[in-house]
Amino acid sequence: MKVEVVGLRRYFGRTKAVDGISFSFDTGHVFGFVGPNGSGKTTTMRILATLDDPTSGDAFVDGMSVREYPEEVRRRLGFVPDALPEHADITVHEYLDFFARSYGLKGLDRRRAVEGVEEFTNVIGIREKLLRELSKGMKQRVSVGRALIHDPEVLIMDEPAAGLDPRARIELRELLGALGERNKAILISSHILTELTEICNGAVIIEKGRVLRTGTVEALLKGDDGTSPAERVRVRSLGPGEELRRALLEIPGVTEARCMGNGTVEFESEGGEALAAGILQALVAKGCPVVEFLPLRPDLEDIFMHVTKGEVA
Amino acid sequence: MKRRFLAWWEDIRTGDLNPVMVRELRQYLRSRFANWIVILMLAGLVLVTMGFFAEARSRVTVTGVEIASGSGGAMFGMVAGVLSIASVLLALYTAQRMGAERDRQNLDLLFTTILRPGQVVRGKLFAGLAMFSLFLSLAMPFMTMTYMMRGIDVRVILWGLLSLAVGSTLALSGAILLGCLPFGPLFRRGGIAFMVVFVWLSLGVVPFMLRMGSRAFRHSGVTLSGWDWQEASTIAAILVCAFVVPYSLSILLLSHARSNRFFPFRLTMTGLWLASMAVVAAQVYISSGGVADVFLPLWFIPGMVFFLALLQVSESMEDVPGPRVLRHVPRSFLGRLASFPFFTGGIQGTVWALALLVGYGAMATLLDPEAWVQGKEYGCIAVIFGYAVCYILTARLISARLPLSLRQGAGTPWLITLYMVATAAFVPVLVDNMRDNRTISFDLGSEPGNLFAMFRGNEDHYELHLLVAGIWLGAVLLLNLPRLFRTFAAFRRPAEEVATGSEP
Repeated sequence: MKVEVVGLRRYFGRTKAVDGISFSFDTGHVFGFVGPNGSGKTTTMRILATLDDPTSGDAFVDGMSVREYPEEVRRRLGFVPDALPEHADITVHEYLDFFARSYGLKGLDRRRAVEGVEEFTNVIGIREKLLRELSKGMKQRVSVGRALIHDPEVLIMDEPAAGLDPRARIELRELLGALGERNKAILISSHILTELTEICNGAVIIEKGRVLRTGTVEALLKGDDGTSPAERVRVRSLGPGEELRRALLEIPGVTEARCMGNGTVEFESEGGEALAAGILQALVAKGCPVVEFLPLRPDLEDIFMHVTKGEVA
Repeated sequence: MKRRFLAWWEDIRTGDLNPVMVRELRQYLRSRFANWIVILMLAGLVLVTMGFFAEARSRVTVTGVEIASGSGGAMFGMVAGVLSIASVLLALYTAQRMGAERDRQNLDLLFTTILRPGQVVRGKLFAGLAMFSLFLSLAMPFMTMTYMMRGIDVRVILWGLLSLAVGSTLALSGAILLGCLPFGPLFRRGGIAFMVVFVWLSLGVVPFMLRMGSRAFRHSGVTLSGWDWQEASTIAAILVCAFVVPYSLSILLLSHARSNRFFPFRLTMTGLWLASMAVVAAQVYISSGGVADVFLPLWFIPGMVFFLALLQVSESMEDVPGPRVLRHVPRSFLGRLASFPFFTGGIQGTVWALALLVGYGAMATLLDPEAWVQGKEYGCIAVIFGYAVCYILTARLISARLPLSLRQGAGTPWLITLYMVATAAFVPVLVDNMRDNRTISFDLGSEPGNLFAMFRGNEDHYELHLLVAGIWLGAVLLLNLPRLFRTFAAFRRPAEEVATGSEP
């Protein structure tokens, strides 16, 4: 099953919230959706979830247009908003049962679906608790369970890790890993980009409603299009940091160097591992007492910082 | 049909009921407020019973009607009163919950499922009615006691229960509508408190109870034979409208702006209007002596009540039909012309309402040629409708010039309209009174631009009002003309060529 976004535009008056976005991802992919606040991520996700209509362009889930066949799309798609809306006086089990009914599941099928989701999201122990009594992490698990109740093939998750403590975040990551193994197509937006690097196979980076970069995570990190961020290397010497920085800047290929304190300097170079080895040799030759030389592997956060300017539509 | 019925029956048998109803009932049973209503109702019923036991032969007068030929009749009135209060509280609670659900965008999540807006409204309504049934069953022992105490017969009790059920249904449908209105929580709460009581009192139980009280209690039985069939059919038409109008409005307020959400509403309203016209025509034909003054305006109410024009025009101002809707636009020019008023959109709403107004004028003249000469009601309906459309179209022109943040959603035109109504109705009166240093008297029928003109009986003012409303309406329609042409343009092309969306 393929999810395709084609030339999607959404204007609010003169504001271009989404301005001609196109990307696609497939079953078995966990696709990261990255962009600064106000870049159009939530608007795009709401359109995919059939909660909003585009001004022009379209999105297709399994070939079904979200504009023309919203009901068919809803059967194939689960949506996880950034926060579980408040519901008074309802337990976790009743909440999941309600959504199972709302997706048209009946009788034994419904009971099996609810129990299956409770087990998968590990909420069996809290199924009789009222929703309002749950912590944010528990609510997020319930929210994922709700989106999975009709076993959709596509999952759209808008900032699912927002406001979660480290433990809840790790649990959510494990849950997403398990979902990836279930061969779902997942689109996930998150501010915690280091985590996305670990979870996602692909990503799309947007700003001001436009796509800046899209592709597999490997391709983005390698910078196949020749626009990847410069490689960074952390060096620590026993001498003063400032002396080390000056020595680095004298070596050809080093473009920028910053003192990080405690004799540590981070520098950027525009070359591969061979150049890094050459720089290390040059430092030793200059008599710098190097005790640590660590090339830093770029992640989505580096790519994001490199390609975006923090502008909103 | 048979298959659908069997599927429905199977759903009931296996407990696969309306999901919203199931959830609402579960929440009601856990809700502290709902539990308090039950406790207070039971306490009230116990107190009433104890009071009547203490003074078994009391004589009680309710709204001027003496209803105690035995103490059972009086006690039934009190029991029904306690039940009525519980019903109003239940409706208030339903409205509050619906509004909160809308504010917290829980509905968004509902609409990622395959639930339809109609199912949501029906679910809320059925859950409310189920709670009312619970109240009723709790009150049943007390009702039985009223029968045992004499002074009332079974038919009156059944009639009273029916009245309560009708009143409760109307209150619930009105309350759900209020919960669906696009206002902020504070404004809505005030509106809910006022409107539910108003709707319930004016359209629900009280007229029925009073009629029943005056005709039935005095003679210890329901005497329907004393009712005029014209009167009965008119009351029935009003009750049907009082339910259908808020019900269909609630559904459309929950529907997506890109769906043709006003189509079912306008179709229902047109149907009601035509059905009411048939009743009036029958009344004219059977009585063969013209129709009583009161019936023609009543026929007008279903289609033309001013707030409907306000609501449907203001609410659909930003609606742009999506590609799914545009596919249903007829290909022929005449087809497009005829279907235009039934598609969602503010201009379409105005055209629809004006068409109905013209239709009303023509039919009223046909059915009762003297209508325009003799009755103030006919002129005042035109005035009231004219002002209603003027207010909302003017508010629309103003709000189009406001910053984007202020004009998103339908709330702003609504608030500007309410401001204009209040200003037009009250400020001139106040200024006039202050200038002349007179005692303030709200002469609401005399100020041009005054929506409340119909509540005054001064026929001298209608010509002035008609003139002002006519000029104002002409002006705003003229200013809205470019929009009308732009909107109609989308219907002039075959559906597959229609471009959707607009460049900023």
